[in-house]
Amino acid sequence: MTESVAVSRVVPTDPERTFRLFTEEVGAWYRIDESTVMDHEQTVTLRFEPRVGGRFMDVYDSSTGEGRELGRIQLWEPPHRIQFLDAHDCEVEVSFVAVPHGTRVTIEQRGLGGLPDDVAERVRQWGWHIITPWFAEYVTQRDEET
Amino acid sequence: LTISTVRLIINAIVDQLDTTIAALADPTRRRTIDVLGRGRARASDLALAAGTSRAAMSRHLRVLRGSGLVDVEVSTTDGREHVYRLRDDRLAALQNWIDQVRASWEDQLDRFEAHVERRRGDEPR
Repeated sequence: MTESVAVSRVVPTDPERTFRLFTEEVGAWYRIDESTVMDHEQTVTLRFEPRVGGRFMDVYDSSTGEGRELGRIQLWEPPHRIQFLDAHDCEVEVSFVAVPHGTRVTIEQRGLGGLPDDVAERVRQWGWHIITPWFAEYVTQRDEET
Repeated sequence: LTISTVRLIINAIVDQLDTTIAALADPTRRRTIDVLGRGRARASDLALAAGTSRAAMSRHLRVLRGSGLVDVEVSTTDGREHVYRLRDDRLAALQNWIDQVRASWEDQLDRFEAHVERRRGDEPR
């Protein structure tokens, strides 16, 4: 059972620049849709507050930079790594390691097995006969809609 | 950079729902799933528990097997008797969700890589 996920890429820039592009320009490359932020229709950009204890923000108001907090920064170690804790207590670590001709960027999200706690636990312990009521509820809702 | 895990869970469940919605739209089949949740059972026992005929239960079980919710095996004590059980999907929903998290991060790194390429000429290394 995999309870963490790690993915990585090598990009053709040094760690310093890679770190800056990743953090300072996150709003330019990060995919914003219903599965990556809470309310993508309000999102105008994303930003990191570049310090431990800072916020990873889903920005709704570009003049103030305020919006919704997506995570709280636990490690801020340019140009080597950052780590933040997301709203569901998953740790997300991003590391930048120099390799020949570039930088290996690795994103690891840990704690998936415990998330969301109640749902994951029920799935783990009981499986389909607990999930079934969800289906039943969904069926009922669909029936009511038609 | 964070993933909306609630959204992903919902997406995972809805994906699963789309493939099983027909199977579970029927109250007899939902009751059958409940019974199988307590352990494997023969078709005749399931018919009894659901208060339906064996022929009707046979049709319901065919639908449930088609949905992937239920497996069948041939009883070792009686080669002609089929024994039904819930498929071992206890972790499937969670795994499905984790797979989505992975796919989402892969996509984000693809996008970051493309962004690095776009910005490559803008600043000397």
